[in-house]
Amino acid sequence: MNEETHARRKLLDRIREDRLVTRRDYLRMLVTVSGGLLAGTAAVASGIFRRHGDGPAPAKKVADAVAPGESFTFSYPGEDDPAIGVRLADGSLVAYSSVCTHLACAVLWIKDSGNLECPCHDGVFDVGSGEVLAGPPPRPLPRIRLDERSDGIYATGVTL
Amino acid sequence: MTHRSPIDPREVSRDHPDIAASLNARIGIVAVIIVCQLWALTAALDAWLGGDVGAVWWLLVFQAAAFVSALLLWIASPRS
Ligand code: FES
Repeated sequence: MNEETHARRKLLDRIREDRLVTRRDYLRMLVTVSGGLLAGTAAVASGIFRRHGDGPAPAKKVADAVAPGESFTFSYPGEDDPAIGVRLADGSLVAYSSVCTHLACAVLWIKDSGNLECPCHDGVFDVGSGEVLAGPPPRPLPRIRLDERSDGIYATGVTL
Repeated sequence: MTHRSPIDPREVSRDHPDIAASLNARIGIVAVIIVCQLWALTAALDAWLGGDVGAVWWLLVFQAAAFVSALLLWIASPRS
């Protein structure tokens, strides 16, 4: 067998090995991927991704007094749930999770613009509602319910 | 050592074009199902993080139906 015939034969063998994958095998692989996507969605539904405010949330004092236009930060309901509160010019109080819904940077109160802003990718949230005004965040900020009592400001719950 | 497939897909296409066409169609349909499932997974994650648990369960039902469809397409596919 000369050199060229040997090379041709080796090449043919390689091609035949590739043929081990049949159309039915491709179909089986795709069905496996489909099962994986089902499993991934089941994992999401089972709650493997932590959300702000998961778990019980008893009322917690988060600030004493805040002047109009000023902000304060706190953790609520857990220590791993950073939040930001703002007293608006009209005297009302609002508070939100300070974890940006885009890629989890810290959201800041920008007094000059009157908005909550994320410096990472210029996400802008409406301070009155938490809705996204600009930038890439896909969802509004989870809202922290506040209650102003005689001895200070209390966080009483979370609305996703 | 060289492994040889008992089934040569080229022979299947040549000798049984109906089987080859059926398998090709099934592969195409399952690929479309998978694209829809990818969308459903991202939608479910977004709904979960947004607190819309009802939507997550509906998307899970959709995923299960999509998977069963893909599975049936595979199980019922012709063998050479
Ligand atoms: S992390 Fe906030 S805009 Fe990207």
